[in-house]
Amino acid sequence: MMQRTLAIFLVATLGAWPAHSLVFRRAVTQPIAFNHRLHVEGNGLECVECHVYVLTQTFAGLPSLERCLECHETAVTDSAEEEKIRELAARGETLVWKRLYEVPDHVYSSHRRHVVAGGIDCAECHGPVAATTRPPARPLRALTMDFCMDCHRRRGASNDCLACHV
Amino acid sequence: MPRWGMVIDLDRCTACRACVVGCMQENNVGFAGPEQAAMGRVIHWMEMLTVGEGEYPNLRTHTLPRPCLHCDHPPCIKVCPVNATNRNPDGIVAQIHARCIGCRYCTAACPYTVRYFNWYEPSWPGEMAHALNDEVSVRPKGVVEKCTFCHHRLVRAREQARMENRAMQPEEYQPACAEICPTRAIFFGDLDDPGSEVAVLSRSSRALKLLEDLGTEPKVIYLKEGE
Repeated sequence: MMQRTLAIFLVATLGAWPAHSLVFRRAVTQPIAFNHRLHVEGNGLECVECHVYVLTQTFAGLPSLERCLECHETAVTDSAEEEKIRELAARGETLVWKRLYEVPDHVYSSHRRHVVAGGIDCAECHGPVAATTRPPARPLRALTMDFCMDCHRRRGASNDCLACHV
Repeated sequence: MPRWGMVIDLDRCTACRACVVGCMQENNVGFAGPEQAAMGRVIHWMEMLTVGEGEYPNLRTHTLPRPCLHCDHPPCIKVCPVNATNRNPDGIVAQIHARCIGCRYCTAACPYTVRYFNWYEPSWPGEMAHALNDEVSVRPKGVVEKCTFCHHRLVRAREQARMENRAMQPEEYQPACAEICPTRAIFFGDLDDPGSEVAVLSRSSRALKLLEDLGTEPKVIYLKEGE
């Protein structure tokens, strides 16, 4: 009886856990241990050079294999991770990154609107991704509704339901 | 703030139902299937109502394309216990599916029967499932949905105008039904701009508001058929 009560209690509390909280999030492993810091600080690349749709679309886009090969056609370093790119290309496969930041289907959020019209820096929502040396296993910021609405309130953006929930 | 409204000219309407199909396509409205349809659970945000008139042998059928009328005094928002439906600053009656608890009070309150409850998970045959509009969320089972005046198109038009650093023109925002109507029977625009086409038509002698005596002040105005 005691165990059953405990089980019901656990299910009830965990079931009510906010879906986008960072606790209990399954860790994401990427196909390549990409080093953001090396590319951004070391080589002065901008986020939008690999996430190419940020300025024009609702989605940001993840770098394609072709994009990587533009610089990594031949070995730049002696890293085994870098070699994976050319191995994939040799096998004719594509690079499948796993999405880290995702909003549910009932939320409409546009990169173009936030970045071009709002002039917001990537790190505001995504956290210090540019300073990481390996791919984050979990999002660095929890994109909860509170998080969005607080920012909208601060910046005087619309908090009308329909602005995000179409 | 513009007050978006629609004028439907029943003289021009041929009841071809292009608006009905266009709306389903634009807003990811699923297909009911024969069993659900038999139970009257088909969802049409834009529905072609038929009204019979007269006595045999002098019969006549009227057809009436009916979207949500986006009333200025909507009965539905007064009864919603969770504020899932409200009248937003643009005067559009919003339906926030993530908030809806499916109690269907609004469905009962709406005198125009524009609200539909999802009795089943939406489904699309074959390839259609891959052709959804990604600007509109797919509604789950158990929530109420209705026409939104294609609000996502307003959002898109506003965003485009902002990108180009100019004011948005009212003609940039047209719902799918108005855009697709082959006889141009559906006019859409700002009712508060006295010179706009919808405002001029709404003052015409043929203008008619459905169930006007209820005081809901619908923003969809019909132009009566000539005899």
